Parts: sequence; C-alpha cells; structure tokens
Amino acid sequence: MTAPSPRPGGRLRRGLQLWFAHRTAFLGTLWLLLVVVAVLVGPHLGLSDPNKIDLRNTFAPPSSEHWLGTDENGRDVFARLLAGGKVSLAVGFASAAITVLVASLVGVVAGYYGGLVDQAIMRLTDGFMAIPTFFLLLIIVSIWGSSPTVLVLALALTRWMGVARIVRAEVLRFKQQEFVMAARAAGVGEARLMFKHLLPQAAPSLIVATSLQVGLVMLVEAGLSFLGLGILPPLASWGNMLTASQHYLWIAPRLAVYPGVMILLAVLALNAVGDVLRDILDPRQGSD
Amino acid sequence: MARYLLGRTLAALLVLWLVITATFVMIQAAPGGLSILMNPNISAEEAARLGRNLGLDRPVHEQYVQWLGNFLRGDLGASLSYAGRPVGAMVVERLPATLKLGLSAALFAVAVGVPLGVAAARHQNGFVDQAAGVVSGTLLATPNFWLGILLIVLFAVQLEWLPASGIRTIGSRGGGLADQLAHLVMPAVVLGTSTLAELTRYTRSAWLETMRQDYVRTARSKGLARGAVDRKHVLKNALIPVVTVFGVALPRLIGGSAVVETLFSWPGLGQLAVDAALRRDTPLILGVTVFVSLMVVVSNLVIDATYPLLDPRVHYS
Repeated sequence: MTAPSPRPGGRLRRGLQLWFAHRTAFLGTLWLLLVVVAVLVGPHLGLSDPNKIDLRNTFAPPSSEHWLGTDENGRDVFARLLAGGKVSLAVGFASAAITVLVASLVGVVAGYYGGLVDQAIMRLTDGFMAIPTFFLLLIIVSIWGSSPTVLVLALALTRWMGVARIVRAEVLRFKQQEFVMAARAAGVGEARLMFKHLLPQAAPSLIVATSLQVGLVMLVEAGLSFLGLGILPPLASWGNMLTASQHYLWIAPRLAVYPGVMILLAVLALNAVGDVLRDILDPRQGSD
Repeated sequence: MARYLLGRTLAALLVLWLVITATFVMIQAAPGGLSILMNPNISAEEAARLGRNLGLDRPVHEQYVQWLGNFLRGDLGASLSYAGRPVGAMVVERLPATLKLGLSAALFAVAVGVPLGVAAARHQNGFVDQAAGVVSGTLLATPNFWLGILLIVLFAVQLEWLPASGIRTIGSRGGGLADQLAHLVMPAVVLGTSTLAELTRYTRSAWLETMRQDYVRTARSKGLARGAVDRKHVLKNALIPVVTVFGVALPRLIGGSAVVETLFSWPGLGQLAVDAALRRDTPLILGVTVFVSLMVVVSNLVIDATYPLLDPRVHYS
C-alpha cells in the first residue's frame, strides 16, 4: 500500500526517466547488477576454486588461466574477489534489512504513542547515537566471535538509530490525517493501525535509507574483516583480502588494489542509487 | 543558560549510563556471564578478591549496582592478557598518542573541508563545486584503511618519502620534531578524510542556506561588495551548523581510529582495543570503550556549551 497518487503509471514513468537521466545512478545500477550476477553465477562457470592453494604458483601475474593473477598462497584472485563479494554484499544487505526491521518497530511505536513513550525512546536513540559504536562491535566480537550471523546482528544493532528517527518523523506527519482517523473510527486495532496503515507511509524514506545503509555497513564490515575481527579466512571477503595484501606491498602492490576498488565501486554505486531513489520517492528531502 | 547546560549535562550522563548499562547487559548475556572478566590462571586469593569486586556471589541487581559503582569510582577493571594490569593505567598510557592523532586529523579536516565547502558554494554548479562533489562523494565511499594502504604504497614503498608505520623512529637518531611530523602525516590524513568530506558538504549547504537569508539580501542591496558580505555576514552564520556537524563526527573520528591506528602501528587507544579484541581480552576493551565514550560525551558537552555563544538565536532551550 503506497501513498495515493493521481496517475500511478505517470509516476512510474517519471521515476524511470529520472533514473536514466541520472548518469551515475544508471551506471551504478548496471554495476551492481553485474556484480550480483557475477558473484552468483561465477562459481558455476568452471572458474578456479577460490580456496585452492598452489604454493608453486604464488604471486603469478595476470594470465589467461588466472585473469587477475594469484595471491600469496597461489589462489586465483578473480575467483576470490567473486567469493568475497558474495560474502560482503550478503552481510551488507542482511544487516541493512534487520536495521530497517528494528528501526521501523522503534520509530512507529515512538511516533504513534507520542508523549512519554516517545520522549523515552528518542532520548535512548540519541544516547545510542553518541556511543562510539565501533568499540561496541569490538566487545561483541571478542565475546561471541565473528561468524557472519554475529556480524550481521551486531552491525544492525549499531546502526538502527538514524533510520528510526526518519520513520518516527514520517509517522508523526501522517498520524493526524483523515485516513488514519477513519481507520480508527472503523475499529481498526492499534497494531494494525501502526503497521498496516502508518508504516507504509514511511516506505519511500525507508527505501532510501536502506540503500544508503548497505554501503555504510559494507564499509564497517570491511574494516572489521581487515582487522581480523570480521569475516575470517579461509572464507574470503573484500576486507580480509586486504589484510593479507598489506604484508606484500613491497612485492605485489596490485593485490592491495583489486579488493579496495571493488568496495569503493560497490559503495559508490549504492550511494548513487540511494540518491536517485531519494529524488524519485522523496522529493522533499532533495539535496541542494 | 544554567537550565540549558543542566539539560545537556543530564543528556551526557544518560549516554554514559547507557554505555555502562549496555556493557553490563552484554557481559551478562555472554556465555559464563561476569566470570569471563576473570583470568582463569590467577591465584585463589586473587580470584576471590576479583570475584568480590564484581559481586559474583550476589544476585544480578546487586552486581549491576556494583558495576555502576566501579566505573563511578574510576575503576575500569583488570586486563586478562596483560597479567591483570589495571585497565585505567593502560588507557592513560595510550591517551596522548590517540589525542595527538585525533586532533591532527580534526585540524586537517577543518583546514581543508571548510574552505573547500565555501569555494564550492561560492561557485555553485561551477567546476570547483562539481569537483568538490565528486571528491567528497568518493572519499565517503572509500574504506579509510584502503586509502591508507594506497598512501603507504605510494609514499613509503615507491617514493620512500614517509615512514610506513609507528609514531617515531626508534633509536638514537629518531624522535625529533621533523621525524614525529613525518610519522604523523599519513595517519592523520587518512583518519581525517571522511570528516573532511562531510564538512565540505555541510559547509556548502550551510553557506547556500545563509545566502538566502533576508539579512544577506539586505546587505547586498545596500551596495556592500560581495567579499565584504561573505566575510561579515555569511561566514560566521554558515559556520554554526558546521560546529554541530563536527560534534556528530567526533565519535567516528575517535572510533575510526581503531582501524587507522592498527594499520599504521600507532600506539593509541584504538590499537589497544583492537589488540584486546584479537586476544579476547574483554575487560580491556570494556574499559577502553567506557573511557572513549566519556571522552566523546565531554567533548560533545563542550560543543553544546559553545553553541549558544555562537548563535544568539538559540535561547538555551
């Protein structure tokens, strides 16, 4: 259920036009699709095994057999980039999805009930925002280790605050409108009112916030994995590929280039998509 | 004024309480509970003393009171991996290096980010504006440790201009001012980049926003030259939101130091925390986290207190 629009077809067409006109967003979308298809399909096309170690063939230059050469253990760098991309993207999207769930719950409850409940929840949200969350992540990882599941939950736990504020603001904006009063007069229950009638109004802002969250989460995950506190080898991630490369900067600096470029392009693309989505769905919040 | 400051102080105390409570909840939820904070290899008497300090033999709510009390008295606990050294002493030892790096990074971000934002706004949609947009967008999407690696490859490996790691050269010939500066440049630049990019964006939009105000239009219509208007009327007002942004950036500036300090082997609090996490030394990270939160809260309080001095429209409310 979306906000009523006079001509739904016209709106969709205008959105697509904006999308195509926005060059970086268009290229970003193409790039993301390409990467997603590559990480999903790549492993089934008979590429080298990303974890196959070949110590007689370390630091090999790019060749027809190894498109981007091999790393310090003789593993195929291209295959590892695909394997790492799958993990990094999966962690990013999963964590952003949970962030949105938590933020929606918190934001809707605060906005709907208002008063003391709202005050208490928003003070807590502000408080969480002021905590240096990277250190909280370190505590979580030191207690529970850094399996992908723990990472996804921990990253979501440290990122819900901003999105919750957005949801709350949207709920506040809509809760006095006629359709809500009509629903209430018709005897619709509180939970249904909150999640079936009010939350969908926040959908445009939520979609924008989510697309921007994925990129942010991927950057934090890369940092943790780089430190050896995120995705652990032999499982590849773009972050932990950089850890190893750090020790071979003098012999093979190119190993330090590929994973970083992949992170940079993915985050740039996600941010561009988020920006154009904001222009299409949420023109009020447009940038200058 | 007093009421405003009281409100901000209460908010700051709330944050500290949140951090201390959140850590307590996390440790309680950990397998083994509070006992994971105790080194299994210590003597029986020492274990008994530590257990009493944590309130291990008492119910949860009393443990919580004890937990709050320990932090209030400034007792940050004892490290597991460094033979039970008090965390407080280790934190104080590492503090100067982190402050040196964090302040240099902040200085770099302000010195480059604010002028860049002003230049972008003054030439809105011009070349400078578009270039600044591309640069800040790219910097915000770059993992800072990767930027650090690239800089190391360029300036330490290829050109051999700057040292790749450490805070000073060890040995009799190192440690002079030039040597320390050379070690500081790369980590400070890397740590400062994302704040720089955000400051550029916010300065730009704050400047454009201020340009639309009536008093600026008045100043221009009475015939003041553009430079004079910019200096006397726009700059001061445009910088107000920038101060706020800087406050928001602080936790990240300090939190981000964990990755940057580790990359450059910088002996600060961030490196200590990462090292502790790798050794599974939970009490040590706990202590560092609470201490860093205190630092962030105090600096935010200072910024909140100066805010009404900068902007008389804020009636301390």
